Amino acid sequence: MNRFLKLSFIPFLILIFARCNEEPTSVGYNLLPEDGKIQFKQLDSKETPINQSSSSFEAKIKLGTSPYIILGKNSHLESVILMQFSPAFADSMVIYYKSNKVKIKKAWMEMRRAYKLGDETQNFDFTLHQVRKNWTSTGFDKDSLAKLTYDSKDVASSKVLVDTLLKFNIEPEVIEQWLKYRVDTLSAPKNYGLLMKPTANTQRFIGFIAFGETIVSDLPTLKIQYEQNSKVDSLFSTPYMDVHVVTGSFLKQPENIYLQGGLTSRGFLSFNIASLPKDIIINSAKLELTIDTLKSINGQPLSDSIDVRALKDSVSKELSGDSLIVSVLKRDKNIYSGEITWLIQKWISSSETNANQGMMLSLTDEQRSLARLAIFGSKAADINNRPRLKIVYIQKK
Amino acid sequence: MKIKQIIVFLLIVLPAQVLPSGGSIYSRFGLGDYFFSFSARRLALGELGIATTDVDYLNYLNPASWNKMRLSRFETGIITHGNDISSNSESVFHVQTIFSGMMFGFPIDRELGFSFATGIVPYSNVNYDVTFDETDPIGGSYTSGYKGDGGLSKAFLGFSFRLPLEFAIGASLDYYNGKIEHLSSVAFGPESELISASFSRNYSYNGLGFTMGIISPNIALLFGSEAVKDLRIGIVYSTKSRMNTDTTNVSSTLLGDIETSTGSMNTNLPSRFGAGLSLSLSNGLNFTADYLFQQTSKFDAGGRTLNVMRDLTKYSLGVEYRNPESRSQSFWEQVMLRGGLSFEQTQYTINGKGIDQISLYTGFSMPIGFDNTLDLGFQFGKRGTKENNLLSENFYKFSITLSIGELWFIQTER
Repeated sequence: MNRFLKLSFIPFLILIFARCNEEPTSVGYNLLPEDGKIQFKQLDSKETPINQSSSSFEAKIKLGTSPYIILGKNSHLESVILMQFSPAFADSMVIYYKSNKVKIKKAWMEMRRAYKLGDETQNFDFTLHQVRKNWTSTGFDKDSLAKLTYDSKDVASSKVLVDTLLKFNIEPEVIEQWLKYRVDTLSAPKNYGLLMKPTANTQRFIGFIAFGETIVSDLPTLKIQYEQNSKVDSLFSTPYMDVHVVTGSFLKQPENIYLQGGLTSRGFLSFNIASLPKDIIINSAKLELTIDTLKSINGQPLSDSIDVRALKDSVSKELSGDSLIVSVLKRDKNIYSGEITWLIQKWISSSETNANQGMMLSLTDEQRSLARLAIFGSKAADINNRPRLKIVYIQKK
Repeated sequence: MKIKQIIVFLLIVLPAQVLPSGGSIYSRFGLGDYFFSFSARRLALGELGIATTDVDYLNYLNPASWNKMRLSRFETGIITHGNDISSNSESVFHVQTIFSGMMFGFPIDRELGFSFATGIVPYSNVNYDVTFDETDPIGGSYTSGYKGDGGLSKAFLGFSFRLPLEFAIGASLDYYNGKIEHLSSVAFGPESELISASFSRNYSYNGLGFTMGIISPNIALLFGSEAVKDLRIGIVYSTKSRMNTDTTNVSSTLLGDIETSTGSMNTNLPSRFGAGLSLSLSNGLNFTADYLFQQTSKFDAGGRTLNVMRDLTKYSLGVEYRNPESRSQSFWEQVMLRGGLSFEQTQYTINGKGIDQISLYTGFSMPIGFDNTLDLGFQFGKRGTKENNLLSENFYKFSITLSIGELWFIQTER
């Protein structure tokens, strides 16, 4: 009996585990009711204009963590650099200095260019000043700069810019002052670093690797040659704190969105997509922005991408909680384009009635660039140049 | 007892191991395909057996059939359903294995035919999976997918009672419950910039109903025939159930699953009527003839009837041979053999054509101890037609059920 029982199970188990299941096929597709099928639809703001609005607004960003420090000036912007050094004066040097056996023979700075903006044939010059007030790169901005005190005397000389290397001498007295303070804090002013300011006739910008970046060899380097007990030696020092501060005027023209690095100007853009049904799924939402090349200034490396973030409030320009999600628009010729599918889906699917508070546009490298991108806005005279939103979505019939 | 435990374990575990695949697109409509039997024995007898009164089996179709229950009884099993589906251009084969439910019953007073039974059995099944490669001027090339899964189950509890003149009656309180999901999706290849997505509509049902049945006394006694040992007529009626149905629409988007809408409506599960004849001969042959009708054309969901539904009618015949010599001890002499056939006008009428089904059945029971059997049933059927761009299905069902009878709840006299 047991043998028969076991044998009778075998075909059954084979039947189950063999399964013979094929992948789904189209058999029966024609019998599906039409009202459950999926259909594609499209909304293209170029073909079916929808209400949109755009503007530019000023934003404050912290440049203390910028990977570049930028120096220069043009017709509407000026950028200065602040650097703090702490040369490693050896104890023996301090002892010899006390007995007047140390003399700073020469000090010079070598700064390797990492960024540039503006015509290289244009003038570039600057002055170097000793800072007389304490500062820190964290949170340092143009307001802080206005309150900064520094010597009016230019302590730089023999400025040479060859290829990518900026080299200039610093008056030895500056270094000696630092050394003196090291020996006796009462006999000399404290070392608060140096301020580099572009001269009035400067018409371009140059950027350098900032403190905190991994490429230490490319950091600006202060080189000090000194004589100690009749022997000549040298000392190198790189900044332990730096920042650049940009001042200037904002451009606001209703027909354009201005994205400005450094200063900083960001863009606001909003589309009215209330005409879209709520029960749809966005398969693609592509945003295209056309650049007004005549009003744009770009640097090297190029500012070739724009970040798009969701706004929580279109008036205060406060970012939404998920602003860590960033869509990036990439440049191809004169158009920046990219997917903002998540953003449109968020607006569509939100249970809040005013979820669509628009989006914020900013240069991806606004912290390390002084580029200004002029993008044709929602009021551009040529409709074809206005921001274009192309949405592909599915809906059940 | 060990073998029974192993079998029960296998019956419960196997369906969980065997994932269902796509079945018939016909199950897309209404509540899907209906079940009429949960046990291999009923399956092999043409799925019905409304007038059959068993001492050693449980039948959920007619509560009156419990009146001769001899021992406390537990039955459970699984059903494997293979379906070879053909259209005019292609065909596909799918297999699905499901837990066929379980029943438990015990006699309270044998003299009065007073018995209790309860159980949970599948009532309907939705299972389809269709994909189609398409191109669209907006969407480009993509694969659309339509998938359905789920079904209704029926939990019930009831009693039987034998009236004077040997009329047996029974009634059960039925609780219909289940979930059905219909998924529509689009999938794009890696070359596409579009994001794959899907819509799903989920229905969650629950509702009450009643089933009442009656089985006549042995009419054969009126004729005094020696050849005809038992002849009975049975009638059963299940009331309409107004099921509360919660609906949820979910979109699978780039942001994840988003519940886009929820709602509630009523789904009316139409009433069901059945009548049957049971004939037992003294040579061990038992015959059943049954008729089942369900007004599925009146099925409505949210007040909307479906134009693809018509009334369901099923006719079935069954024959079973069990050795009339009850004292026989040989394994082979205790084996019961069964066969049956049925014709069913299913509830579907698509493209103006009713979907009919014809089936042949066979099966047998193997004894595994006193009053315990392992039943195997097999159904081969043909449903539908390729006419009018419809589908023709050659399907089989293989059912295995364990029926365990034990002497429980009986007080021993001291």
